[in-house]
Amino acid sequence: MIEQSLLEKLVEALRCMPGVGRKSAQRIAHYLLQRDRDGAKHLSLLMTDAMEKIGNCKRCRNFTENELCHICLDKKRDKSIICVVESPSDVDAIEEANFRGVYFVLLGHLSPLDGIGPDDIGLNQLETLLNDKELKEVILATNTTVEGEATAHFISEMVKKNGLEVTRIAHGVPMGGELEFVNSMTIVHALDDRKTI
Amino acid sequence: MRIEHTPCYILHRRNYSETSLILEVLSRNYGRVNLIAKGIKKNKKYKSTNFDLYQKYNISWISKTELGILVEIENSDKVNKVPSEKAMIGFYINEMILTLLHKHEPHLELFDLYEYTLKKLFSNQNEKIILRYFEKNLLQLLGYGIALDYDTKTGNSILAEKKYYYKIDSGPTSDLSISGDGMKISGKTLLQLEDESLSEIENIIEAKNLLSMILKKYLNKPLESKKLYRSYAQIKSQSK
Repeated sequence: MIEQSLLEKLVEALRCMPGVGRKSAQRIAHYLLQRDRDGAKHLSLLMTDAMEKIGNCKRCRNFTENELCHICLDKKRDKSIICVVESPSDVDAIEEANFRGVYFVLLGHLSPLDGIGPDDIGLNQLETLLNDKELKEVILATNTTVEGEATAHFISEMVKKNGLEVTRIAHGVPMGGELEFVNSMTIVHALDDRKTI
Repeated sequence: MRIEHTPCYILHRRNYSETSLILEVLSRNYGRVNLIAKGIKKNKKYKSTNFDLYQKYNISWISKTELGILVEIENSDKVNKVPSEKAMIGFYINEMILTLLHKHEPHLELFDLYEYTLKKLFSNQNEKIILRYFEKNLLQLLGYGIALDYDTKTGNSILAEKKYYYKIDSGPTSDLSISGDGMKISGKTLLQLEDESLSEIENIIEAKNLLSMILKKYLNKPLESKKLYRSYAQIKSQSK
């Protein structure tokens, strides 16, 4: 059997990135070899460093290389509101909306058919946070899939047990969206949750 | 082979690569099938489709290997609005079908049973009763026939006022001295489970114990969805 060349191995390795197929991997490898070897070396060093050092925040489970992430450490943040999300990319999305509270990242959702239960998404850890005397409200911002809704419902009962306020992000027609292209379930929710103006 | 516009429910879905989904589907005419929905997350054609559980879709797919390729999907009915608590009960129904039903075995009656059960579940009827009827009918449709209306030793009809011993392998008998895998149960529960008229709490509990005992034999392992619902019910009881 002929051993793979280093270039072939590089192309294969680049395919581990989301959305990168064989063609794109080849293009990236050729570009880096031809035009930006320094950039690639820097990337590889940083990649090794990041993979070794980045873990999860002990409080909110978001990615960080420290014990606590920059959001949990930020004294200006309103610690009385926790927003529960499914993934670190959801944190980025909500940060863009200028949310000033703190987060709890589930790193998934309840999915019994995949063997993912409450402890696998850190609900035992969230339970500890719910005892924080400073906390007043928990916003549930899990995805609007059936699994996301079930996860939100499960957490809402945990929060109620602790006597705190629990809210769910609104569901409805996206801004700038045209009704004819919106799926039926979204319209059902938008009609049910309509508000007086 | 291309299968056109078949009524289906998605029982389970999982991400496959960045843009695709693997769907485990219950179809009306072809039973349980696994489909790959390639590139659907970036394809505008599927923008208005949720690929959600408990919704009825008409799906077309190409079946060359064990894993079919989804080529078209559209909502078949008006969408079901699913209360979140009921979604958790639905996980149990889906997991039971995925565990007990073999792939590619057409089951028209099972599809209808699934549809009927979801309809009842989402219309806020007592899930403790709906689930018992689902379990009973599922077992009967899959050929695990359970005797409910006659004494399997004497052949006599079950009498509501009598007590019976239900042996897992054979069924109810009035001979209460019998031992082995089974449980004591009232004739009233057996008859009400048979004609789907459970109403009193003690009969509902007895029916639940009976079906749990029978299902345990065929399921081989505890269902994850059942564990999840138990933890949910425990938390809910504490939050009241």
